[in-house]
Amino acid sequence: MDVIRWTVLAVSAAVCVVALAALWRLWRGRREGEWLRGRMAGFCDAADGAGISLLYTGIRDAGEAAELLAEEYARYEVIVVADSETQAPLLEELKRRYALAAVDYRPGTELPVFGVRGLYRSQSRGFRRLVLIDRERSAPTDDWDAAAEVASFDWLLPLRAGERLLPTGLCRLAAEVNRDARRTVRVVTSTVGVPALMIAWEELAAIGGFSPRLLLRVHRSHRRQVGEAVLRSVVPPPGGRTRIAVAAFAVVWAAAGYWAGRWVGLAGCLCGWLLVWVVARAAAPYVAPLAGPVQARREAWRWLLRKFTVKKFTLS
Amino acid sequence: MSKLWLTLFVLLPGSCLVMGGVLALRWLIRRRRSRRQRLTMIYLRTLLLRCDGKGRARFPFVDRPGADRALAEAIAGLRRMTYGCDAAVLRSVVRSYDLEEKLLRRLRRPGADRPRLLALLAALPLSSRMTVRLEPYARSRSRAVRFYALLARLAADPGEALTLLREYPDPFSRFECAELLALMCRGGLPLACDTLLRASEENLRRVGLCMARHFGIDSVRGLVLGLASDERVGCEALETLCDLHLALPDRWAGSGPLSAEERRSLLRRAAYEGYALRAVEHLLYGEERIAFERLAATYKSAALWT
Amino acid sequence: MRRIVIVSDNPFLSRAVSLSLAGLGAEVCCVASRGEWLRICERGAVDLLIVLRAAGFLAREREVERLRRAVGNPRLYILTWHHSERIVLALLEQGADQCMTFPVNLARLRRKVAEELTGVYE
Repeated sequence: MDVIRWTVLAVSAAVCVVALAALWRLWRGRREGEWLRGRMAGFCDAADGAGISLLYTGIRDAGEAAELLAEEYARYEVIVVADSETQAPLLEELKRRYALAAVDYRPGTELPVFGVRGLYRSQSRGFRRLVLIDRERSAPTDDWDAAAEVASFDWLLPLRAGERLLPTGLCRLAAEVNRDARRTVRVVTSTVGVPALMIAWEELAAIGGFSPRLLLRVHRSHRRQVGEAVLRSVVPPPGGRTRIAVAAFAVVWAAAGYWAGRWVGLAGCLCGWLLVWVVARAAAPYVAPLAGPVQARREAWRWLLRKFTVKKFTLS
Repeated sequence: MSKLWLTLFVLLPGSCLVMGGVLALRWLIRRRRSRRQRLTMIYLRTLLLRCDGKGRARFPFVDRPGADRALAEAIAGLRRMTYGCDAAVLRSVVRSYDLEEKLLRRLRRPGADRPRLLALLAALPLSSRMTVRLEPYARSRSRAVRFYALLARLAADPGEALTLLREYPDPFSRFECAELLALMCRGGLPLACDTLLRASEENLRRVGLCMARHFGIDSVRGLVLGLASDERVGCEALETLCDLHLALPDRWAGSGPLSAEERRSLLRRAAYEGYALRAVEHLLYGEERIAFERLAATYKSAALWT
Repeated sequence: MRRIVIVSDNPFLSRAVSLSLAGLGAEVCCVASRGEWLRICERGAVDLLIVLRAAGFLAREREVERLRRAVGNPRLYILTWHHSERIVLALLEQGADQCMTFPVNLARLRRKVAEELTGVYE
């Protein structure tokens, strides 16, 4: 019984330490990111820069394409997947706005692709970065596979509906790849804020396309993690679910503390809880830099809870 | 009683201390950063006045802690974003405010962010004696420190550029090549592209290829073609030819085939740059030719005459 | 009084450009976002708009036209880190009056702006 009590107290102390360590790493990641972005700004145009293809699924409005195209980084393209059967007006609007014309499309064999009806590229020099795929609606991973197949660049960044890049997020990801002298990095991830995963085209082809557990199929030595947020969501996270998770966490922790050490244990756990609350508030502007204060705090709590529950990054 | 003592005198104050420490640290960092940014802006104005020859404008608050760093950042930022500023004026500011010595002192402090400070030094107009003074950092165990020490030494003594680049032990990454290009754009690396491409060292060739791509120097096609079958920079040489829209080699010379991954990366690049299959088919094998054709076709539309 | 608006989210860049344009007999405002500069423009006509990034013009069609309609037809200068011919041509095709790349010569920029402002009032 004593062992269990001491274990509970030890776990409580570990939670506090993990929260502080996470905040420290977040601050360092942000600092490193700011510095790298400052260096990259001077050569965002370098032909050496890693080329990145954004694969976007779930588009609902033509303005979303404009937001994705508004990145200062030069070597990237945006491949949007839409379904002409259910989104015909949207496709027509995109074609009109960006002078998209149908081009020859033949399915390949490297990735599992099906249901593609057509491919469109822009005839305008300024919008050459935009590519549109007309495909029957199915899972996001299938959309990403179809987009990856026509990608022009070596790195692929899949985005779900409502996800956008933070300003210079693309620069940050590219900097991580460009710094790799031995070219062993195959996947770059960020678990801060909205999780992001950028994968090399060859690695994706080797593992047979996008899947929910993709990251588990890439060896640890080929992965690199960026210690700051690169994506944001225009759809705020559900406030109710976050509040329930945070409240449940507090109650379970307090109950465990009381059981382990009566009111001393309870007081200790409440102090630990306060510390974690302070860490969440301090982390909020780093986790969700452009969000309002309420959403930023919610994102910070979700980020912290992911640390404690050791949730693996998945694509869905 | 001991539990009460534990709670009142250890747990509660300890927690408050840690929480207060986190908040105080955050406040201090923000305050220090915003002060330095304000100072940098003030110094930027004074620098521009001096560069315009408008009298001997003074730099205020130079005795404050962090002022030397703010002044260095103002000079570095100005040199990075502009060209044609009077270099003699900037050099005299660095000399009269002893910025070299102050930054070196910061470098020697334990826990200093050495790569950042060295990068800052590299952006200043330095005296040539700094090449010797920065030499210990060129032997650091940290790759980032080694590279930015190289950059700073190149900025201090551009005449020794070839020697310093030859001595550098690690192969340059793309990021590092781009940093060297940025130094070149500021006039800090007076090297000719063909000199670099003719060198036997991998790093020099890499920088040469990077320079050819960045400045669009298509007159070096012959030299780049000669590097296409090199084991270490062959892929990059072919990428350079693609980016410059020059003809690719029409046969393989020597024993420098690309790996499957490099070939597929090349085929994507060649398709993007508008090459026809005939220009690249001898560089690809079997299914890669079909993949190239398929990708290149997506850049074309079927023209129907009715 | 002539008005120049500089749009950039990098305070160092916008400050350097605005300081280099001091003394031209024009009011120089620096703004960080599109929303801010639309508010500035509501206060009066803008003679010259200097934007220190290119991406916004490569994201929407006829962005320059839309800007000019909103603000009384100012001249548009774009300063960008992009060096590629394709991007510079695309910006000029969109309707930019001048496209300059960083690193920029501030004295040359000042001369061009001075000529531009003189030309406005001839």
